[in-house]
Amino acid sequence: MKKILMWSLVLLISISMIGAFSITGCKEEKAAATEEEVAPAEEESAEEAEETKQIAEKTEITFWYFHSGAEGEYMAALADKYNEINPNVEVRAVSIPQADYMGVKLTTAFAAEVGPDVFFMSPGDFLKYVNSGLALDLSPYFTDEIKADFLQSALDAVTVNDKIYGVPFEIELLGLYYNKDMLAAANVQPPKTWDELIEATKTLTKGEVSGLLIEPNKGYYQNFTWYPFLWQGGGDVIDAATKEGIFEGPAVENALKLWGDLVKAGAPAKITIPGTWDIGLLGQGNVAMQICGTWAIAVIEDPENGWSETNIGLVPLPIPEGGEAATDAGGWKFMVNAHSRNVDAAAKFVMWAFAENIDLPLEWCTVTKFAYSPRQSVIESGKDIYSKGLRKVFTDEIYDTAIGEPRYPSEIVSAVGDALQEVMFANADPKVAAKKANDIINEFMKSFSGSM
Amino acid sequence: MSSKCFARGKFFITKKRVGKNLFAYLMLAPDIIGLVLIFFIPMGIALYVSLNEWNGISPMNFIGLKNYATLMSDSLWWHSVGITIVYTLIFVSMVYCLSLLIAVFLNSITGKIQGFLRTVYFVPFTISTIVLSIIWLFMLDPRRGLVNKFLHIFGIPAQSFLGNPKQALFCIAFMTAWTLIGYYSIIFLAVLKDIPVIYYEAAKLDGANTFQLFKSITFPMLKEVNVFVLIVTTIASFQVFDQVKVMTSGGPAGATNVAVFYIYTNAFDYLKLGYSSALAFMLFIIMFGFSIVLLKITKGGERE
Amino acid sequence: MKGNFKNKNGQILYCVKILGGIILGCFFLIPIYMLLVSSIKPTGEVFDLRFIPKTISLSGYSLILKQNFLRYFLNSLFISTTVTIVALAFHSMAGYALARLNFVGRNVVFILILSTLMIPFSVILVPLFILVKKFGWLNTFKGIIIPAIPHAYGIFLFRQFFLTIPKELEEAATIDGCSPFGIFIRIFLPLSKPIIITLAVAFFIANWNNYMWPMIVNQSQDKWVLQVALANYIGRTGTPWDAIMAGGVITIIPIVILFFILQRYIVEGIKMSGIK
Repeated sequence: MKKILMWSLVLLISISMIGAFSITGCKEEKAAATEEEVAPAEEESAEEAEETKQIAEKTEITFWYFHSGAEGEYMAALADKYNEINPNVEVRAVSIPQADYMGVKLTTAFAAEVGPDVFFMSPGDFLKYVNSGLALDLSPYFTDEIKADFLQSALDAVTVNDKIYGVPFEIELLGLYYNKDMLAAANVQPPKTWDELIEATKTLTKGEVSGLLIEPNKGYYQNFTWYPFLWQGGGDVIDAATKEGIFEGPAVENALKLWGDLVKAGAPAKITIPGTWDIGLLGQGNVAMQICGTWAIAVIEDPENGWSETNIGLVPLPIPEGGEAATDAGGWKFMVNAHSRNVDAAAKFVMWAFAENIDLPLEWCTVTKFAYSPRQSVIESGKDIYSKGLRKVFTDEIYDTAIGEPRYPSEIVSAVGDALQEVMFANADPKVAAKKANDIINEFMKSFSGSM
Repeated sequence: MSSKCFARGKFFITKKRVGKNLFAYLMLAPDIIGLVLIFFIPMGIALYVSLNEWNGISPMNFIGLKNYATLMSDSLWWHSVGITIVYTLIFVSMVYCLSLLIAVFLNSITGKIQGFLRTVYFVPFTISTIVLSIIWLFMLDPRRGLVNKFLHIFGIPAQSFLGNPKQALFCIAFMTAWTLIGYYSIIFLAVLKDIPVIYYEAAKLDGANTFQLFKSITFPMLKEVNVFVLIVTTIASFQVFDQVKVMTSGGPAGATNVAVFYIYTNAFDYLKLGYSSALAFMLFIIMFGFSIVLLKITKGGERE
Repeated sequence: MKGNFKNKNGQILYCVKILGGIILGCFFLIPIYMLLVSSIKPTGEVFDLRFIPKTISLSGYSLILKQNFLRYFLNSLFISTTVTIVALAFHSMAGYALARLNFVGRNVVFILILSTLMIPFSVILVPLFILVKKFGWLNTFKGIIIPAIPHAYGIFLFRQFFLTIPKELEEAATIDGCSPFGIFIRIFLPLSKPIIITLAVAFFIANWNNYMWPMIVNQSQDKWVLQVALANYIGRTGTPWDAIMAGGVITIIPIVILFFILQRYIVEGIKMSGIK
């Protein structure tokens, strides 16, 4: 038996290594080759441009999006519109399932060097691609005029070491949506403070209805919706100046404790849909209150959502005693693949879509969905829309309290998420959970050499 | 020319022997070539990657066995291995016992009804993971799910199931077993049908009761298929992933953070492809050890 | 056992068994019923989790069928059928060699083959993808079919099953002058009808429901398989849940029908008179 074991292991390892070296040998050669290619590429591109005109071949750009429904149609239409205007460019838009877009699909594609030329990036994953050199530096394309049009905070979110790596095109804010009829029937006022929120949740949790919906699943979205509560008390995860973890102290512990209390008060520990970003549960009357974002408004106003009779109201997120109002400002960014074969064409497409055009971004922010635009010109031309219906609440009461979604590396997101999970579901002491997370964060920051 | 000659290491190289070996390898050839291409070579690449630091984008950075040293002291990793082992114990016993029981039960039902019941029990096997997860999220909903409504009839308070760290792992095991029991009972059935009825009749004449019948006739005849079901379900449960990713994301509070989910997180979330490959090989070694032990105990199902 | 049927006790026992079987069946079918019922609700009601729908609407089905679903259906059908047929041929041969042929390194090869089951897919995903790209199989059906064919599961099951076939059958055939390949074709294969069909169903289902690998290899919409097409509907806003449920039902129906027809061949069993 021992002999067989030995034999098998030897054979296994040798077959594998032979295979490995034969393939990776090729890959290393390829990596070296691409580096050589980049240098003479500049000479070649001038020649190539001539050739391209002569042969009248189209420059092909692949553009991967994950949006579905109306948003997906918008993205596909973007590509069509650009192709019409620029006959020598062919933008190919491909739809990818949202759940695996960021994880498996992009990673494997980039690893095999067949990644898309243009793609979307969330603040959470932004640094991954900047630090590894995959994001194209778009600063040359941002003229002073264009830069002035953008909100400074929006540009800061995509800037690392004074270089701009993405084009922001939407700002999504969080608020507390509620079922007007349910609250009225229970004689509950829309909560303004944390204590009121806990009380309201308890009162409104009856039978099959849950009082409040907050995200129970660990991940970026849970963190995204929780950060405002951390910030309201003055807390934060990392000190911007010293780059040290400051995930400890009363602000942190209270914010963690709040979510633990909310679960005890009646917020579901598990939901039937993949994530609480879907306002459907509130609309269908399964919950009385839900923390959700600006994107929900388009769904609420859609006559075909199947629950238009529900009366939905909106208030800013409740604040703690002595705390300051705050909400999270998220939103995806448009990015260009620096290893693309057609960087220039790709960058031009990206800038055209959301940095130069006005009506396309306006359509995105006001018709296809509701979001704020990071550009003054777009906000100006859409001024009237921002006061319609529930949008008014966002515009008047929430907009000014927005803080940009942080772009922490995944390990930090995970540490914060674990602390939240433990307090919410494992009855952990917030102080202990916070300390544990902070230790992990500091441990990580020690070995982290990329930019933040 | 028996295999006994081989064991003593004496090679009788005759035309017949070479022909025999050649024939065997020819029969194996298509699959071996396929397996080498699809599994062994990527495994080799992954083994090489595990000796590097790689985020999939920048060139690899060779660091030797550092990843393996790190994983030895990675408490989160060993915790996830522990969770996986617990899951395996629950899952394998559920699937094995229940599908065997149901197979025996079905075998005793004569007539066309058996076929109808077989199909009914098999239907869960046909569902894809996404749909499976959605349906069971419905069934196990803490407030409105059918299971809680059912428990309510008996006065049992509503459970959080997938939202309760103590119950979530069991729920996933149960749900996965639910899809497989019908299928494995068919496999057991196919073998049970081969057992000649005369064996049972003779034993009954000798006065054996149901349990003794099972122990002395049924069970031994199932040797080969037992090995198959045990090994295959063990290996599969060590690699449970899809349901965890869709339903719990490793939660709540890390209760379902199984080994492959941790590997996936490291690979596609943290972009630590080198480290995750090292973790995967560690898992492989654990599974390999388990399987060798299992095979040895059951002698691979080969009759002496 | 059949003899018991004649007396009353036997009949009562039989009825009890059937009843038990049906109750057990409910345990298996109730979630399926939820799926069916959810698929005929409008999007807004899919999550009310009602046992009996408030409104019946076929909006899910009409949405699905409008969207080129036939194309994806055919793609999946083509892939699943091809893989199943080729895999069965290969695995039966390999299983036979491992079970009945004495050759150098037999145990080593068996363990090596088994070891391929122990590699988590997440970890060979990237290397395999790089390999497939090198061969130029990206965004082709080849790229989905070929990696799906070699699989130790089928080889293992065939081996275990072939081990149960009595040696006397082989010996009789050899005496009659049958070559090893002839023994394989004329004796082992016909006897393994149950296993062949079981595996055929299992392989077909696995490939029919396969999502991760086809999603990664695909780069264009016309080559989508069913599960990838369904997953594309799930987004952050405006997910048509009724369509997803309808899609789920549509993907199950062909398989259940297939199984219902085939399953009696699985359990027919071997007639031991074959020894003659």
